[in-house]
Amino acid sequence: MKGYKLLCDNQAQDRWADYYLTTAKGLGERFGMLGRAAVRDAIRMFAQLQGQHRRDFLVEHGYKPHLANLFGLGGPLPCGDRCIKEWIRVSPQEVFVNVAQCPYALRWNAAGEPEVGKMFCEEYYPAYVHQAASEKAQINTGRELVNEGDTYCRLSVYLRPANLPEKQRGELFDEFDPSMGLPQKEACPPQPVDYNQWILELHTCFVTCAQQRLGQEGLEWTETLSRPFLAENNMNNLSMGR
Amino acid sequence: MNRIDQVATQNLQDCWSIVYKNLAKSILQVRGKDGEVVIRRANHLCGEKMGQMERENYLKEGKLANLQTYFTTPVSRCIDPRFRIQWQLFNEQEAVFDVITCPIYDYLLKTGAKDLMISFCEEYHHGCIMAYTKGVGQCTFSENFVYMGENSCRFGCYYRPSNAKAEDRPASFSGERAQEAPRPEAYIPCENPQKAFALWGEMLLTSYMQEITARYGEAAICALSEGLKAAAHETIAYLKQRTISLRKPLDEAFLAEHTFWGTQFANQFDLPEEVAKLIEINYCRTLKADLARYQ
Repeated sequence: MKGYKLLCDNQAQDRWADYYLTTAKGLGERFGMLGRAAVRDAIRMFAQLQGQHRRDFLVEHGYKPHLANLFGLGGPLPCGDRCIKEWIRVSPQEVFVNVAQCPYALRWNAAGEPEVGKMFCEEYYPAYVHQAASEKAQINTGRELVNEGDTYCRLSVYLRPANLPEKQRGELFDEFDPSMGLPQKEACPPQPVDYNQWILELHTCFVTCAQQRLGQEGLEWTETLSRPFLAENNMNNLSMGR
Repeated sequence: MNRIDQVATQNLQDCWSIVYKNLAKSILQVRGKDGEVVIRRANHLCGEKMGQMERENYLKEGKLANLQTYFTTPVSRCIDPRFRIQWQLFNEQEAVFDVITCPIYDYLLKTGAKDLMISFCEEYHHGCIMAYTKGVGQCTFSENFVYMGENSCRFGCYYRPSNAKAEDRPASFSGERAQEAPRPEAYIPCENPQKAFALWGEMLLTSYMQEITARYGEAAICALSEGLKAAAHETIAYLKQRTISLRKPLDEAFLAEHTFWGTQFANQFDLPEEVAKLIEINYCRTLKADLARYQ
């Protein structure tokens, strides 16, 4: 069995976490609840986008988008050595994982904004898994590093074939797919994560949702908040010869 | 330690657990693995009915239908005092807590049916909170002591004004931001425990009837009849033990106080005739016949 490692650009990851925090906080502070509603919409939209990328990646490589594959390298959890995970149960139907240290939470807690961070975790994981696997999955983030008193995040995800329509069972689980041969021996290759690209994608989501909820003023404010990050992104991309 | 006046509520909860266990078991026996589809859907539906009803109760009383109200002042629900809960976050928008002891789990574990707990917990609570919040809340259930290595269940319920529809916000929230609220009492006495458990039992049964009929047709209801009979047998045997510890005789009076359907079904919630008959013929009459044998 091949052993894979997913390379992670920590600096870009931090920049992305800062970008999220600045924009989400800025929208909330200026527009109150409506601003926060736009932020939540944007997170869900971003999560659906990433979930769809993940699903497409797995299907392209001949893997079922069930939970065990979904949470492989390049899945929804932050990448890199700073994300310390303790896997408790990993199977096509269940994934239980404790995250003892999360690079996003480190950043958000250090900025004294756990509440803004919490919005991300609350909305991101359910929307991601619903898009990548099935809307019948249950996603539970019971403990969160951004909750006062919690010392780790606990993510428990369930996807029960009994809750799925017959057709979806075959799409998601080997044992319900008559065309499936022997189970794959090789682990799925890692899906690279590009946090510079994430900034652009999240920006698009923020802009779209801010405009929908808050109109022109929301759009302009989002652009103002995003400008320094996008400028930095462009410089990085140029210096990397993209 | 629980008080003597809480014993009837505990027995009612156990009688409910017995009904759940036997309905689910019977479906699995008759329908095999495919029966899990019905069990999960019915558990979810039962939760939806309860969540919907509680929301309506609060709105009728002029209370805000948020998480704080849901956990502090149950109306249609009766909470067994054996539930031990450790609260972490509690306010109108967030209810995050650990369940340290759960009488339903304890009963199923004791009688070798703990696997039935997973499909109940995963579906029922989710159904409750989703219906209660009109589909915009979250009920996350991240740890479950059914699994080895876990010693509590962790629930996280969220209901955010920013995710609710504008027209629903005034009925649910006192403001945009929620202040931490005093934790709910460890024991919330219920006015009429029997009525509450009867309602819950009937919600469960009607949900199972709906789902099993939808999947397998009307004839499949016989699995529920068998489940109800088995539940009645188990209830009598269980309550016999309880009468010994309470030093009371097992008689009609005891059953009237410690079971929610008793030996004669009173259709207090106007169930359709076929459901009332199903309970009367299979549960109440079996209970009565068994009682005669035990006396």
